[in-house]
Amino acid sequence: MSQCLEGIKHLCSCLLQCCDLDLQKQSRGLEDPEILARETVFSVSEIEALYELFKKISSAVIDDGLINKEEFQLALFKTNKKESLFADRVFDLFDTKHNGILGFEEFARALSVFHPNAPIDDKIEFSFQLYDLKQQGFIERQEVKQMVVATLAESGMNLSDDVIESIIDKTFEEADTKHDGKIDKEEWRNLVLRHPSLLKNMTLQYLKDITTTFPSFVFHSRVEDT
Amino acid sequence: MRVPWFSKGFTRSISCPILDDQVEDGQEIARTKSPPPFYNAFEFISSMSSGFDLSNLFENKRKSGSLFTSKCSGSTIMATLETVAKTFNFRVVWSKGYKLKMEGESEGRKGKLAVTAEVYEVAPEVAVVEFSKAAGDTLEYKKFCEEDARPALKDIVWSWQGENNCQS
Repeated sequence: MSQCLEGIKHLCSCLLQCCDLDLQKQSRGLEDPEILARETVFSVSEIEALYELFKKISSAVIDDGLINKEEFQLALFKTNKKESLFADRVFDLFDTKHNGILGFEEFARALSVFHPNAPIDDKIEFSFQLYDLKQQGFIERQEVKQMVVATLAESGMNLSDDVIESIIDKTFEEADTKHDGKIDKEEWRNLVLRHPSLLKNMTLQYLKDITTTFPSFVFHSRVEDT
Repeated sequence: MRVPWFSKGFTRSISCPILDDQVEDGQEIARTKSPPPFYNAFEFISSMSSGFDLSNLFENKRKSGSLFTSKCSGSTIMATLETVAKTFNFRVVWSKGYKLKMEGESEGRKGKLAVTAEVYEVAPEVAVVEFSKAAGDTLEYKKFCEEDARPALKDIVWSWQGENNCQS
């Protein structure tokens, strides 16, 4: 029994060390913009400008080079008092390391999908995952209902359950071509191609002008001052 | 010319005014025959919920919306939009079905401001109205939406995009 406990203790401390190292690495900032530029749609100067935005958002509550949920909400809603099913979902999708905070790498990689030049397939995939609340690989009626109800509540609108059900019925009539009560990736793709406006939130024109909005004074070629 | 009903000291209420029976042009007849196009659940969610709209990350203050919901019928909304256009000296360039385009009289910074408005239906008593800029300066467009259109439309608006209208 005590051996078991020792083992668990050891495991925990190892994990903690790993997490610490990871966090340290995550918060180290902009080490090599070229790598990120290569692996995303952004140019090096766009990465540098994006980093300026990241610094602004990540220092709002705790100045630790990382964006926590509160800072994300603050940046999105301009108030940290607002809880939102959708903001939570977006944050979770950005948080590919699943540690509850966003490092610059996660931030840049996720935002890359929102660039006007990003491939549409990436946008379709990301938007599908946004709506797939339970992450089961398909969008169920219940998930859509939950989101419709949340949207109505957020806007101070109220509709009867019957009306909400009829909205979902009509939506599924068009989207659920296989008639199995859920929308899979293929059906989602077809729906989006028929209604391109469904992807409007997946493109941020601001990203194209980011170097002018957030000028970075970091010169890429490091010249030593004498 | 009829005086716009809404400026006759109409008190704010959620219910919608009943349109005059007189049918002025073919558009009215066409609109009573078919409802506005369907706005599906995903379109509704992505438009009305501010959590999915990341553009706010780049703005210093909350963006003003260009979309609102209404409990009024599509025909009432279209008629109201046409009246609002005239109030602000916008010429209705065309108005067909549940879409219209209006153009400002004066030349702005980038030419005349032109705005399109489209009405959709989420459910029989829930319409969605989307504004978009067709031509002209973006700042002037935003100003028009916020300072002119919004107050003028308040009697038919249920909720504006991205706003928390909960009575708490």
